[in-house]
Amino acid sequence: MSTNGDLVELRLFGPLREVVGKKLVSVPYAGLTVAEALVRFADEQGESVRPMLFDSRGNRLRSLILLLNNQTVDQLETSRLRSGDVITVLLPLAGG
Amino acid sequence: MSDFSEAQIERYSRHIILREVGGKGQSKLLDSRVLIIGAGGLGSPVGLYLAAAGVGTIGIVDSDAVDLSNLQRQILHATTDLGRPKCLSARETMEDINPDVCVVPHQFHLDSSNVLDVVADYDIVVDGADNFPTRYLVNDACVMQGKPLSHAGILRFEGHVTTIVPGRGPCYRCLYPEPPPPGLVPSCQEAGILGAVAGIVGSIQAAEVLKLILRIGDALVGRLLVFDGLEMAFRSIEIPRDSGCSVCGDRPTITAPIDYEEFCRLRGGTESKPEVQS
Ligand SMILES: [Zn+2]
Repeated sequence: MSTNGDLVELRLFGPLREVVGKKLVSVPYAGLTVAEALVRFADEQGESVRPMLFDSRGNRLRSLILLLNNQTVDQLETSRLRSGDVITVLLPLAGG
Repeated sequence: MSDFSEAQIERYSRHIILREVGGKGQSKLLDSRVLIIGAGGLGSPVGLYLAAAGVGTIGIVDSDAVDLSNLQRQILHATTDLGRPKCLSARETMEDINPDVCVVPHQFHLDSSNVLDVVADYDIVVDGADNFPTRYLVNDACVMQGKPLSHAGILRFEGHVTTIVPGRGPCYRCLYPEPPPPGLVPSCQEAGILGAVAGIVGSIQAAEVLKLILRIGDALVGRLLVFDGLEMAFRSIEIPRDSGCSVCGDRPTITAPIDYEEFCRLRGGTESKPEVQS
C-alpha cells in the first residue's frame, strides 16, 4: 500500500465505470505522467479494461476525452500528476 | 403579433409573456425548420417540446417501426402504435399536440448519399440517433453545411449533451476524432437506459434548439454537459475546437460525407482494424 501523498483519483464514466465497478478509483500514481497513469491503470485492471483505453497495438484510443482536474490536457506525455489530482476519462455514448 | 389568431395568442401566451420570447420570438419559432434524427428516447422529448412550442416545420428521420421495448422511454409512441413506422406515429402525436406544426417524415436510413439533401432543408439539426455511424455522418454534414447541431448520447443512467455551431466551437470529431472500436460502447439495447434519463437529456436538447432559434442565452457551444443520473449531478466540461480536426479544422481532410465503413477503411494501413469485443 502507498501513503496518501501518492494518491490521485480516476473518475470513470459510462462503460468504463461498468467494467471497473466504481466511479472513483484512488491510485498511487502521483509523479507519473497522465499517459503513464493510463498504461499503469490498464496493466493493473487487466484485460477487461485495456480495450477501453488502448487499441490492440497499444495506442491510446482516439475516442477518449481525458481531463486533468476538469481541464483538457494538452501535454499527456509530460504533465506530471500531483497528489490529489483527478483524471476524468470519458467515452462517447451512442445511445439515443 | 397581428398575424396570430386568437387561439394562437392563447396557446403561446406563456411564451409570449416571456421578455426573451415575445410575439416576435414566437413568430420565429413558427417560421423555423428543425430536423430530428431518430424518433427514439431522445427524439421523443425533443419532438414533443418542439411541437408544443410551435416550431413550424419539424422533420423526423427514422426507418424503424414501434416496438414494445421502445415504450418504456419513447414517449412519442403509444401501445396502439406497435408495428407502425415511428415517423408516422411521431407525426400523429406531434400534430395532435399542436396543429400549427407540420411534421415531415423521412422514413429511410441516413447515409452518405442522402444526408446533405435532407439536412439542407432545415435550419437546425438534433442528433438523437442510436449508433455511431449516423452520429459522425450527421456531424460531418452539419459542419459542411454550417448548420447548428444539438448532440446528445445516453446510456444506463448517464447522458452527454453539447451544441455544435460550426465556426463558433468544436464539432463532434473535435471531441472524439474517431469512433470507438465496434462493440466497445454498448447500445441501450445491450446495457439499458433509465427512461427518465432520456427525458432529461432530450429536454435539454429541446431547450438548446429553442434558444438557438430565439437567439437568447448561452448555448452549450464548446461545453460538454455530462449528466450522472445516479449521483444526480451535472458536470460541464470545456472542450476547445481542434484546429487539426479532420472535418472542421483549418485543413479538413473530410470534405464530403462518408459512411462509417469507409471511414474505418481510411484509417487502414496505418492502424490495425478495430476488433469486435464480446
Ligand atoms: Zn471538429
